[in-house]
Amino acid sequence: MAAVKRGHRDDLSDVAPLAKKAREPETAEQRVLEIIKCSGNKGVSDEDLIRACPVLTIDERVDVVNKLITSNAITLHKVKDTLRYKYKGPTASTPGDANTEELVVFNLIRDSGRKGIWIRDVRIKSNLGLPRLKKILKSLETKKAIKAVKSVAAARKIVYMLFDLEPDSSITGGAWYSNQEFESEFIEILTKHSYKFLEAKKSKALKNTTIRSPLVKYNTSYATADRVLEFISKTGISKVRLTVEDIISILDLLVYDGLAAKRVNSEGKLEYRSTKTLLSRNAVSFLPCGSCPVIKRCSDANQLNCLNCKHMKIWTTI
Amino acid sequence: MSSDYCRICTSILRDYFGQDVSEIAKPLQWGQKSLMTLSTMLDGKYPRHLIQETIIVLLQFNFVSAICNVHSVQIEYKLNMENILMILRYPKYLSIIKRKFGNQYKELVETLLCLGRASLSKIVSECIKLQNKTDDLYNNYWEKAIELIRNEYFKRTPTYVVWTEVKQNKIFTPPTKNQKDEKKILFTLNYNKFHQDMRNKIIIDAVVRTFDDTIVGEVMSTILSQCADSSAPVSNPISLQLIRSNLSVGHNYLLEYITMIEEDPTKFLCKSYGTMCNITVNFKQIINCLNDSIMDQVVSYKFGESSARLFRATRSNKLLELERLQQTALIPDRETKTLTSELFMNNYLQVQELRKPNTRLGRNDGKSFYLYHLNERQLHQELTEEILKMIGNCMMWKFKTCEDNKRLLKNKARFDGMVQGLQDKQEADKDFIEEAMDNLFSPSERILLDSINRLLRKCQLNIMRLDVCLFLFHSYKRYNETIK
Repeated sequence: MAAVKRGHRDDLSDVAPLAKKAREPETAEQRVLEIIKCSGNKGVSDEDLIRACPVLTIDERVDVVNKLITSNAITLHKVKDTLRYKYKGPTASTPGDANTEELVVFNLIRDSGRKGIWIRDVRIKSNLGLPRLKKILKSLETKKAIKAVKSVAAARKIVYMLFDLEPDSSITGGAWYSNQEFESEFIEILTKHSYKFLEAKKSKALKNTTIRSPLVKYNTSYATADRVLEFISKTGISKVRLTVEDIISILDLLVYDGLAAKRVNSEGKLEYRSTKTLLSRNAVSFLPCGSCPVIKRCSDANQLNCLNCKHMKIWTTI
Repeated sequence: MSSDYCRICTSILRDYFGQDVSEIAKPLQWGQKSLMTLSTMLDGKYPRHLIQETIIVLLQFNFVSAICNVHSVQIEYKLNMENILMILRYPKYLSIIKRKFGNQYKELVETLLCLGRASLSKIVSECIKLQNKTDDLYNNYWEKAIELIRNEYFKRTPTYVVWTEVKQNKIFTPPTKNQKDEKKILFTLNYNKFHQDMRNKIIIDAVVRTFDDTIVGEVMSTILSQCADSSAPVSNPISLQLIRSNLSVGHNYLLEYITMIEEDPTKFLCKSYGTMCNITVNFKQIINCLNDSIMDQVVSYKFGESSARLFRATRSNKLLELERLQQTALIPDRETKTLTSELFMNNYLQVQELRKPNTRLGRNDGKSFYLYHLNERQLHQELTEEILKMIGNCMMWKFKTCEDNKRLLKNKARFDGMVQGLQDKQEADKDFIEEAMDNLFSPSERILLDSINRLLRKCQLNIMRLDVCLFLFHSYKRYNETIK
């Protein structure tokens, strides 16, 4: 294909403007790749390339294009008798000594990107038998072309992706997972600290005697997620880099726990404020019946009644 | 009516009117009956005149109403269980009046509660008699009773013996003292007004808790005192000027306080912007918030904090898949499954299944989506039943303790009466009473009496606490029904 391309390029060489010297081959390659990348799915014809990059000499251009094709960064397509270059995606070098089957599997894995592909899907798409497929995957793994990543969605589910790719957050679970394990303790600590921060902010605002306006006091008792993130990063609790979204989900937990209230401020940002429950202590919690699992079956006509109940007896003994 | 409801009614009637009345009223719980049917159902256990007397007593308290059926010649009697349940709130009513007006007003209300329904002159004279006051105070008490009518705590009620209707515009018209037919104008308690006060108290407490500021409570209480209609989901518009003129503190920042309450996520108030700044109270929203708060507390107490988190997350997101629920509540997968199934089994969460439609081949791949959601109406009903059961259990224990120590309590009551008599005559000496107590009751009996008193007080206190929940559930039901 490269040879054909070269011939085609030679025909065009008459039309091409004269060479301009002192081009860095590295930069030229990147630039051409950039142009092709920008064209998206339409691709770039040779004429377009000349127009976009008039400074390149014919030889240089041929070299660059050939290099890109061999490194699998671009592909050639024939559209209405003209050849077009199309961007192929992140450059991933195929293992040099790969056979056709390996190449098929490798391409499937590469196409799956950061999300990875499940072995079952590889088998269905590649139409290969399971023992053969396993062998291929093993050989690709030993060549360090691909890697197996455990998904958080299911303990046994392993997905394959290119070796140098960082797994997607849906696979790793984001900041709340480390080594595919859910870090509930970490979340608990973060929640506690966020609540502490909100509580401190509220009491500071209420105790502030310099401000007399109640509305200003009330508004200052609210904190945005950015401020909480700032506080959390300052304390150094988290070794992982947390984003604002992560903090928002932590603050939402406080809302679900009934410890904070959330509102949207005038700038359209979410704000949080520590709050108490609307009612003081729950009436149900004063009686053992409040937590009784069999209260529905408790009846005077039944063997299970309040006078026979062990817990009620303890409650009524003073 | 549920069996728990009936059980409580029976217990209340037994505690306040005696075993006979509660037994006679029992058949009426299952539907209205004529006197003839009632006596047949009681199977000769009670003489007819006793049944008649019971019904007269219950009619007096409006616990039974007489219905003249078109198809039947006889008058039928219907038990008003809701009114019977109000007895649980009597201590609350008295404390409201005492806090708002003072002791003498409380005495008047107490007398009316004991009488059921009576003319104003009877209420006043009975009150003076009960409190051992001199007749000179008659005019004083009369004025106070008139004030209670003006404040809508007493209302006119129709009479039974000679049927008289009360005109709508005359419900709260006080009689003149020397009116000719004053004795025929009967008064009873206006429960709605008391309930309005109870509701306002709960709302003010909630506002103070939310903002940690007592002045906000004052502002809210002033706004609530200006609300006219109690049953509408949103109150009548109240002008800022009116609030300002009635407010005792925080005049300078009134608008700021109102903006604060309005901007809070609980949204208790609404403010209209324009030349005339009017404020409306979102009663429905408030009651819904308070009910949600009770439910959260119940779930948190019963199933733990994590379950309460899942419960709240489901409520705020309406419909959630299990995986999404786990991501929202950030609880480990397995724990989420256990907790949601526990909540589901106890009917706190519901599951909506979304099936994929069958393919053309008549086959489907079996994948369905399970969406978790809440059914608040059903949950309310169930919780109401549970709370009724708890109240019933408390009353049962109260009754059992009294029955078990009947003799001792009787002696103590006799002794207390004696001491009261001596104190009235101012002959009692503290040491003398102590000595008499030592002679009449052994040390173990005295300890027992103390513990019985403590237990009875504990039961009563818990009944009253649970009754607040019942009250809020009832309000929730009313507001959510009227909106349809």
